[in-house]
Amino acid sequence: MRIVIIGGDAAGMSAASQIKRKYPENDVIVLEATQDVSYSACTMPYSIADPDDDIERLIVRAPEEFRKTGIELHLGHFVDNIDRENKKVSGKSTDGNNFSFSYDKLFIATGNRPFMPPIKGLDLYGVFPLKSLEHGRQIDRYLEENTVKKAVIIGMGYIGLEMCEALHTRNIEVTMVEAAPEVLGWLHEDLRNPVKKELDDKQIKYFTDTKVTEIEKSGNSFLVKTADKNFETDMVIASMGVVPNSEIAEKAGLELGPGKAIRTNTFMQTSDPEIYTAGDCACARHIITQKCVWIPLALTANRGGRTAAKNIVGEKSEFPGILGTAVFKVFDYEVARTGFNFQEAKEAGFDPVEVVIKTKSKAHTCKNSQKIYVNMIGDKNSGQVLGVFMVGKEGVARRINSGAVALHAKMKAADLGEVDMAYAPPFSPVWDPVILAAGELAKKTKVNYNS
Amino acid sequence: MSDHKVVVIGGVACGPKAAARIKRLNPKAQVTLIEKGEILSYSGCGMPFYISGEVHDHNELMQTPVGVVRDSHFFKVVKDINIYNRTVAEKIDREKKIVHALKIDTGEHLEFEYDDLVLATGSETVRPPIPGIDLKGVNILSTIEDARKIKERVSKFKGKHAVIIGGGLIGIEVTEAFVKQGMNVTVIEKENQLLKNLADPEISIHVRRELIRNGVKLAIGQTVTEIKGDDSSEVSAVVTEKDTYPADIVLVSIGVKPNVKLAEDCGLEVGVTGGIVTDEYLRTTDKNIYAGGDCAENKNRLTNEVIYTPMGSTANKQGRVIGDNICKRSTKFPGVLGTAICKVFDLTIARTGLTEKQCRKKDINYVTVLTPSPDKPHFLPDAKLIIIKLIAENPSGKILGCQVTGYGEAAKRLDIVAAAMSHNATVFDLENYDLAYAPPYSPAMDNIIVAANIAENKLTNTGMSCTPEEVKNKMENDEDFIFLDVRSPQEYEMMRIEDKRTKLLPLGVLREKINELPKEKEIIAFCKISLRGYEAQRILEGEGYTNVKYMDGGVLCWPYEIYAKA
Repeated sequence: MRIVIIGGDAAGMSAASQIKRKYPENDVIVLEATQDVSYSACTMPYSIADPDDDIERLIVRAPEEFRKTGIELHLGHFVDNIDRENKKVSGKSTDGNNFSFSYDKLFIATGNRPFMPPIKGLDLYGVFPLKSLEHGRQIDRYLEENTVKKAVIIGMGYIGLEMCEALHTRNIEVTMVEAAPEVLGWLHEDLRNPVKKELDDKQIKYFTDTKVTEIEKSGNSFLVKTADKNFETDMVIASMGVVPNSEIAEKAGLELGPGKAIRTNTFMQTSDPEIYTAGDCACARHIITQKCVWIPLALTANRGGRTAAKNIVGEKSEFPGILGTAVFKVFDYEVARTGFNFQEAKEAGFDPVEVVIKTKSKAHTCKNSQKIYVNMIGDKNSGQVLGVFMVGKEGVARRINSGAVALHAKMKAADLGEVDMAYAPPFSPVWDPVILAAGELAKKTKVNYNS
Repeated sequence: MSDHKVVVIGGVACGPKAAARIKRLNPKAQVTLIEKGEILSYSGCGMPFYISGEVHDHNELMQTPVGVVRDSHFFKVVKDINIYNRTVAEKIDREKKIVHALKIDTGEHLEFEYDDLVLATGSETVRPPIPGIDLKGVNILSTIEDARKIKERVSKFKGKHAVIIGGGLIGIEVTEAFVKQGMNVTVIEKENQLLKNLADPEISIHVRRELIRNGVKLAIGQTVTEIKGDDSSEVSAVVTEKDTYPADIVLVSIGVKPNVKLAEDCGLEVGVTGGIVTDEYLRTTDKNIYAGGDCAENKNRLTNEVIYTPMGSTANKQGRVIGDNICKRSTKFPGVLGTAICKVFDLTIARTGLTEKQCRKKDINYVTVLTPSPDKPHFLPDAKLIIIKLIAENPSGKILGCQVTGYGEAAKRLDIVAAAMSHNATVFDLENYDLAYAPPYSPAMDNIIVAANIAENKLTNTGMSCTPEEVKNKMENDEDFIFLDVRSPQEYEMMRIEDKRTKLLPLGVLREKINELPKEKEIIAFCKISLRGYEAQRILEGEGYTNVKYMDGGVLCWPYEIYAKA
């Protein structure tokens, strides 16, 4: 069988490797538009933070290594057409040649790209999004070749905040501009406040409810203009979100879903059963509502890629879906979420109740025990846990995962409160924060105890 | 309800929790708590950290998270609980519903009437009948008073010799504490494995290596025959059948047994595990008497068997459930998974559910996964190794147990599995969990998901493997097979498993040199972690080899002797 994969990102390469490993008799052809495959995109801010760190280190497996395993990998191959009738994909490579490949099964893993609204000046050299390894290289080079004392970051999402820390670490004065009325508006106020305080403590200036209207080059620096004020800066990071690379799918008549991402069923099939998709360009089913959603995150890509690979080779496998579990670091703070916040739970048709608790990451007798804030949301009538949000300097990132498991298992708050988790003083308080929050939440639901 | 009389016997974890819960649910209840010791409601599990000096003052072990010391005054004034400390409950009259007690300091006899009674009498450390066990300087660690005594002696004998008898959880934690206090420590364990109840040998071997790395002497597989003293009855040495170890302080930590005398004397049922029998509401065989914490037995929520697993977190949870039930909020305690965790210097070791040893005993058909990998992307400077052993039922995939060890983040990864097992999850569920990912915290595919993926491969016969133990047995039986190392020659130079069957053939040249491998012989492939080993297996099978396996965990998980270049 001849399998063509468009896109060599996490989903594409993990599918390619898996197919080749388990069923070496298949032809696997990967067409990647850039020159890079298999690198840890999420680690780029941490590499950029360290001027001595070589960003090339983030390449997990070189193209040669993939080729050794029998994958036919073509770099610089941008696919611009899918001919579903003749089962062929075609496009033009960076060296100017036209190419065309026929397929028995096609896997679209085109990923996403930074959202770049039509603001004048976003295309100036010195204004960078951060998505591909090439972006990372450009930022590295720009920081090396220019004296950057000030930077403006447009957008205060995950990438914006991670880049804020990265640039601050390099002693660059960072100003952040956010169009929304709040920083991390999806976070409960009690959890948001310590994060905001952390930004203040690190002397990060930020302006919410502020839309950039234009970026102007003036001499060696830039002027970032908004309705109220202008910011002079040496460089700009544009992190205003992402959009799926779904145009070729749309052009080929495949159905799109929320966010214009490619619609899939649980087998990762598009509306054409011979064509599969996964990763940042694709929708997935939300575990709680079973509805199609688009939440582009790396683990979703890897897991989706694995499921798609199995179905392509005929092992039937369903992708149960996603919860939008995420974690990121804002200076000394870990911020993590899984499932719905109060508002999202309401919009999804639940009658939500929530608790916010403040406790410690370890037994209070341990010297490095830190404050931890937990916001847990549940359905009043069924007692089902719908979301867990956590903020703290320690013990947040991995602890959120037991919340994710609870959501997958559709646990009631009272059930989660009884999980036999590991306790010893260096690891958690005797009442783990998740267990404690679940116990409190259970009291607010109608299913308080398991009788 | 308003004059509901509740008597709680035992004031460490389960008892105070139950008492406090009852007062919260029913502020009018008359709650009396009897404790034989001086001190109430303390973190027993924190005691090794007090001995090590990480917790400076023993009072900290009794504080609430906001720093209020939970002493009898606190319980009386804040919680309105009548406290009788230094008071021994002597007898329970179930017919009249009265507890008879003795006040230690005055010899006064007290009687407490109850409507409901809570037994939270805890456990006591087993003191084996070894000659010399009563010498000065031979200690157990059960109460804060014990901890204070030990710390005092340790500061007096700094730089001298300590011997720990029993390499279980407490023994290992105190070993670290003693080393931190500058003692030369020897651990004597009569079985041939440390932490034998916690983990399987290929996991607990890392504890052994970590202790040796930190200068601890180990006497494993040795039984103590005598403890020797000097003229003034001070301990001087511990003798085993093989050797004599000098000792200025000794800790006996060979295990605990539940305190059930009160319960037994009044006719309550005590189970095969030695703990008090309770139902799912934590009621004993007398419906007005509840029991929880270290004095009671538990149900394994996976197998429904009764087990005895005394744990501080369980005691607290049970206290809460007992409180609920006494206040007529019918609540079941679902049981435990036997989750436990221990820090050994920089290493963590943890487990939940069944070990392989236990699965074997029960004749369960299972598969195991043994996978070492960095706890975050390998190119981050602070990425550290963790090793996961995952056990799943064959063919259902139901998770039976998990063990994690390593220098990296192991604790919260184990909790993922504990949560999953609470819901009878399979590895097919586990591999699809939407967990949190960001490079400072984990690889894109979390280690635990990778472990589930490998388990799936095994359950679907995609990846056939053998455990290190199986390979070792084959070697010892002098079986003929090819032990195929597919790492690079440089890796081989640095570290290797020395065996006459070893053949080095790096993965990159495997296809071109495939003719060097005979088709009729059994081949067991491996690498550093056995990902390349698995790929080699698939390649060889693709080329028509029919008897190929890979070895779980590769060189990093080989629990036996390893050649490492100095």
